Order: sequence, then C-alpha cells, then structure tokens
Amino acid sequence: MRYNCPISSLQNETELSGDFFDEFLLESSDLSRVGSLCVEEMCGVARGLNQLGKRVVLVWDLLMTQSVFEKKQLIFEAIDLTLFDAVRVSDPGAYHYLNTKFPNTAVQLVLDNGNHNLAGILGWEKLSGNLERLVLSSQLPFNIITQYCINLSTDVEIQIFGKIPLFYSPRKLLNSHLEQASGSALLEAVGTSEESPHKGFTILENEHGTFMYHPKELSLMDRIEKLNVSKIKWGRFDLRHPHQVSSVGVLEELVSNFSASAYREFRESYSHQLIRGFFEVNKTDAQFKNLVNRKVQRKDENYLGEIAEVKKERYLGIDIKKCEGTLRLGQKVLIKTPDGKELLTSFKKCFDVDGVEIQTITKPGLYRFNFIPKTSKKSQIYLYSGE
Amino acid sequence: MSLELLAPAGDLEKLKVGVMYGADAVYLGGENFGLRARAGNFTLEEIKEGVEFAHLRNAKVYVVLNSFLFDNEIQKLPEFVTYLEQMGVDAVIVSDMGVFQTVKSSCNIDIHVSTQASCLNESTVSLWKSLGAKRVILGREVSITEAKKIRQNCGIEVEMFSHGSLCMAYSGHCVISNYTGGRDSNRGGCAHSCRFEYSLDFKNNQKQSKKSFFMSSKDLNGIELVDQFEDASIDSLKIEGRMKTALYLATVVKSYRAAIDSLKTAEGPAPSPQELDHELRSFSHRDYTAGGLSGEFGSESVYDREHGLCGDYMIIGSIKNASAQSGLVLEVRNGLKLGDKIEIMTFKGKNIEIELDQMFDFADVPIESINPNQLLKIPYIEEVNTHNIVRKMGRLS
Ligand code: SF4
Repeated sequence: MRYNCPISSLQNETELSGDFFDEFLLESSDLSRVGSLCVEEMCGVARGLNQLGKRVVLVWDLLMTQSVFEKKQLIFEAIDLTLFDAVRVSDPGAYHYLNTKFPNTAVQLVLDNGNHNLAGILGWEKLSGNLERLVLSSQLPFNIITQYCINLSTDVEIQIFGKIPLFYSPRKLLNSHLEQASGSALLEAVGTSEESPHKGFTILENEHGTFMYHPKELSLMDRIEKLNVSKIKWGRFDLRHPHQVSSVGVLEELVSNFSASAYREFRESYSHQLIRGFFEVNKTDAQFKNLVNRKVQRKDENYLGEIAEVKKERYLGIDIKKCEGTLRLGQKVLIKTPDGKELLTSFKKCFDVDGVEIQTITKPGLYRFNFIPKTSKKSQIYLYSGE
Repeated sequence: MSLELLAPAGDLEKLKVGVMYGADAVYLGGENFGLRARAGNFTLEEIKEGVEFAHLRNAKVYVVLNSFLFDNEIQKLPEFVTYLEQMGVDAVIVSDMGVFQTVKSSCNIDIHVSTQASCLNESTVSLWKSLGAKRVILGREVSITEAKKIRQNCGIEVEMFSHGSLCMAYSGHCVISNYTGGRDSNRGGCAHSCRFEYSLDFKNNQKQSKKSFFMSSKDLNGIELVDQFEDASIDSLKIEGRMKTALYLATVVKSYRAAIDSLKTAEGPAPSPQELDHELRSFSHRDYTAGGLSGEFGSESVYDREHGLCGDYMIIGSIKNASAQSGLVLEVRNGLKLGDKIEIMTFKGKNIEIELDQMFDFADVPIESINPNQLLKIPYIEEVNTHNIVRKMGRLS
C-alpha cells in the first residue's frame, strides 16, 4: 500500500512533504471543498513536489450547479495540467467533462457516498479511458473492498486516518449567525445537540458551503498491517488541521513499524477519540427492522379488503377492494389484525352501502357485515384458501 | 408539451387522491427498493392496482428504486423491474449506477435518474443521457435559469422539485444518521439530525456561543414560479412527500394543478395567486422559501426554530362512497358533531362548505357525534365524489 495526503494550505506543505507520502492531493480554494491554496500557490507547490519526484494530484472535488461549473471550468482550463499526474473529481459532471474533453488526463474518481455495489462501481470505471484511481466510500467494510479490488482493474484508495465528513451543503449556515457577514472567509464552529448522542461536531463554512464532521476521527492504524498486505493500493491520511499535521511523525512510525503499545500511547494523547468507522462492520439492513411500518404487509393472493370500521357488538364496515369471483356468506375468511393476529371465520350477514341485505358480493365497495369480536380497524380480510 | 405535475403516493389511497386531484403522474416505492424506509411501500398487487387506476385516468406511474443498493440486493432487481415493466409501470427512478446498469440490461422500462445522483449540471445530465436515461431529476440547488439551459442543451426530459420539505445537504451527501444512529440516510434511514437544535461554539471568538436550528431548512414552495418552469421547458414538477398526509397531498396537487392550468387560457376563471398561496398555507408546514429555484439559497432559507403545528385546517377524512341512493360515506379521522362546519375539497374549483345537520352511522342510525376511525353517512351532494378529502377549520391539539 502507498500513502497519500492532501495539502490544503501552505503551512501544511513543509510538514507533510517528507518521505512518508508518495502522492499529494493539492487542494485549492477555487476547486476543492476545503482547500485554501490559491491556484498560483497550488501550482507552485506542485512544481516543488515534482522536483522531489512526488506524485501530484489536482483536487477538483466540488459538486457544482451549472453556473458554478461554468466558472470552475474556466479556472480549471487555465491551469497548467502538465504539473499534475492526475485530477481528482467527485461531481459526475466533472468526471464526464474530463473523460470527453481531456481524454489524456489521468482521473481519480471519488465515489464517497452510495456506490455500495460492484455493478455500480464497474459502471463508473468503464466510463473513462484514463481512470487511474477509485476512491471508495468509508462506509464499505474491508472484506467488501478487497473483493471489489479483485474485480476492478483500477487502483483503489480508502481513507486511513482523519476527519470523517458527514455533511456537505452548498448553503452558508454559519454566516447568518455573525453580526457582519464574513464574505468568503472560513468560519469554524463546534456544534452540539442534546438530541444527538454525539457531541462536538466540527462545522466549517467557506465559499463553497457548509461541511460537518464527526466528533471522532477515523483511524485504521491498528489494522495497518492487514491493509498493507491487502489489494487496496492507496491509503489516504487526511491531515489538514494542526493537531493532525503535528502527528505525521508518529503516524509514519506506526505505519513502518507498528506496535500496539505505541499506538495505545498515541490514541491516549491524541486530541480526538479515534474510531474504525465501518471498516469491520457487516453492513446490513438490520437497522431498518425498527423503521419499517409495523403494519402487517398486505399479501396479494386471496386478498379481499380491509376493515374500515368496527362498531362493537353491532357491525363491521368493510372496504372490499378486490373481488375477482363472488364472495358468498358462509365462506371461510381469514382476518389478519394489524398486530399480526389471525382469525378464521365466516360472515353471516351482509348489507351493501344502500343498506340492502345481500347474500353475495360481486364487486368492490363498502359493505356492512355482522360484528366479529377481536377485530380492529385496518385488519386485512383474505378468502381462506385452506392452507 | 405541457408541464407534468408529479405527486407522491405514500400508499394506494394517496395514489388515488393524487390522481383524482389532478396529478399527471405519481411516484411510489416498491416494498424492497424504495428510498423511504418508513413510507408505506407498495406490494406488487398494489402497484398493479395503482397502475390500472392511474392509466384509466391518463396518469403515469413511476416506481422509485432510489436507494443505494448492496450487491446481494442488486441480484433481486432484474426480476422486480421486469415485473414492473409487464405491469405497465411508466418508468423507474434510480440513483445508483449499479441499479441503472442492472435495469438497463434487464428490460426496456424508461429510467429517470434521481436527484440522489447529483444531477446538478449539463455535463452530468449529458452523461446520463448518453447512458440511456429518459429523464433526470435535477438537484434542489439548481435554479430554473440553469435548468432551462440544461434542458435546451441536453435534449433530455428534466424534472424539478417544486414543493415540499428540503434536505439541507446536497442530495446523497449527508451521512449524519449513518454514523450517529446506524441508519443509512441514503437508504431512507435519515434521522433528521438537521432539524435538531445545536449550540454553536465559534472558533477564535468569531462569535459568542449560540443555540440555533442552523441546519434546518424552510420548505420549498415554487407555485409562484410555475410560469417560469413552463418558460424553461421543464418537463415535470415534483411534489415532495410520500410520508405526508392526504390533506397535504390534495391541497398541494389541487393548487399546482390550478396554477398550471391557468397558464393555458380559456380554462375558465383561475384562482388568484393569493388564493393559491393561502391554500398552501392552510396545512401544517414550515415557513416557505423558493429555495434555489430563483438563484442561490440565502440565509433566509434557514428555518431557525422548532417546527410546531400551524395551518388553519385539519383533516376530517375522505369520501369513501358517493351515490344519490346511499348518500355520502365519509371515513372519519377526527371527530365530528352535529352543527360542525366541514369543507369538502372538490377535485377542481371551489370547495363545498356545509354545516352538519344530519349524521348517520354506517347502519343508517341517526347520530349526534362521531369519533375518529368510524364511517359517517351524510346526505348526498351532487358535486362530491369518492376520494374527495374533507377538512375542517381548526387545529389538532
Ligand atoms: S439529516 Fe437533514 S440534511 Fe441530512 S439527509 Fe436528513 S434531511 Fe437531509
């Protein structure tokens, strides 16, 4: 595995450009979500890193509405692309634009949220003739990513260390809280809600909008040996903040010579709690068990309708919705209550909506049947099939 | 070409309400693949019934497949979409490249690309067009002016959100619930963390700490921009809210229908913009914003307070049967008594206000009051139809 790291400001450049990283992701304020290099600075840094023999990537990871895209296109087209080994994009439009207008430029595609299936990732892969890297979602577990690596012909990158992005909005959400609008200056706050189990979300606002990060940071450092022998080719260290940048020496040491005790010490002294995120989580839909409607799902076979009213000791108002044949009094029906109970019964009396007593029902509509105890509104009625 | 009005169908009943109040098309979720985990997703038989009902009334049905699927789920997709195609579903809505590719290779059903797929610019739209999409649903951040350009230059159908709740993040780019509640917001598990109140501590004393609903968005309301949508050749206007009430649905669909129809002349007297605006404020909603439709989202688009109940009307129920012989049968959701004034929302035109002077239970016995969840019979009124929604001035306590 090789390692890379963003350079988002000039301050970070000197501290990060040692031997540890093989590749640098240069983040300008114009084209990247959270970078603060101006384009000239970015090109200057690129030149310097080129001389050191490092790989250099131009980050263009903004999401862009049409008018923003047009402006960014002009900025992008004025940049000397020979300074960069590749361009990293996230917006599908930027990806398509590079593939069609700059077919000789190597592309790195960020597939951060969603894209949790191989068919989709392969679909994105085949759209480019010059795709050199797929940056996969931090929500994909290790076993799945390694499986994907076998099937993909492009190198894969994952995040190993750093802040976990949670939210990206084009709206400026902090600015309105200042007495004087701050223009495009960077605003930073820590947000805590009593309704959230997590406290202390970092919130950044810049000219591109507002970004929120998890209070804890991602660290896969104690899985670094496993990662190093995996098919994942690139590991990213998102070191943008001073407390992260100042840790680069320890992180480098841990990567080249991991020791559990050294890592424990690092964790204890690090300013933020560290988590492994979804790295070893078996992502399933178990979470939805509590979410899906508790209503008993309608089965289609033999379905007749549902109870619209229960008038205790007097009648049931039933909305017959499906009546393909004829429903006769005395025929066995199965009533499924919303809480899952089943009653096998038959109706003895029936009146149509006009109050006329009938023996058979041949068309959908509202009907009044004799009262049946233990039923409730929304109970489903099925013709009993004997099974 | 005329502007399509696209309404949410949270269940079969709401599908019928949406169509009857004038939606040209409805969108719904199938049991397994719809984004809204908590919306009443449809069984196959319900979809079939919904398609038959809608097609009979010249309305289309789109089925939402827009959750980001895992590998094991993708495998089940071809059978499902083939069945949808056989049932006559008009299109599926997808957001995931894997789902897109799988649908494309399984059948010939039309594909609409969801806003979840970050459809924000011409280049993205051209990409989806080149892959065979029939329509793209633009992100809520795209203005009508931008959409016009996209529509003109890409030559593919364009759908835009016009009404309803707004997600504060770029669609698909908020995973707060994933990390804080183990619920994938891109698969319908959003815990609405953006609606929470946060205390904000600004760094470097940029500002004193403050409590605020800083991430909560106002609701979108684009009814006054209907002529601009039309002028921009937008193909479809989408109303958000598969989980919202039938009252919301009937009111919003009826209002937008009137606004769209008023663009065509010779349709008789149209309700004034003030009347439509008043209608859209008649049910509980957050303050409205035109959002990004007319430009960038400004700070006024933030709904910096808790969402309390508002609106002048509450739902009373819906008409289940209307015939001269048996009268009107109303499924009552909120109690009523003799002397109450109710308003029956007709599908088009003026609503009918009546004072209840006769009430009968479902066995035709006269009654003086009725509790929720019962069937009420009242005398027949000619202009009233099955699926009409009934409302009443007042608020639930
Ligand atoms: S929490 Fe808010 S911003 Fe995030 S997905 Fe849910 S609605 Fe959107």
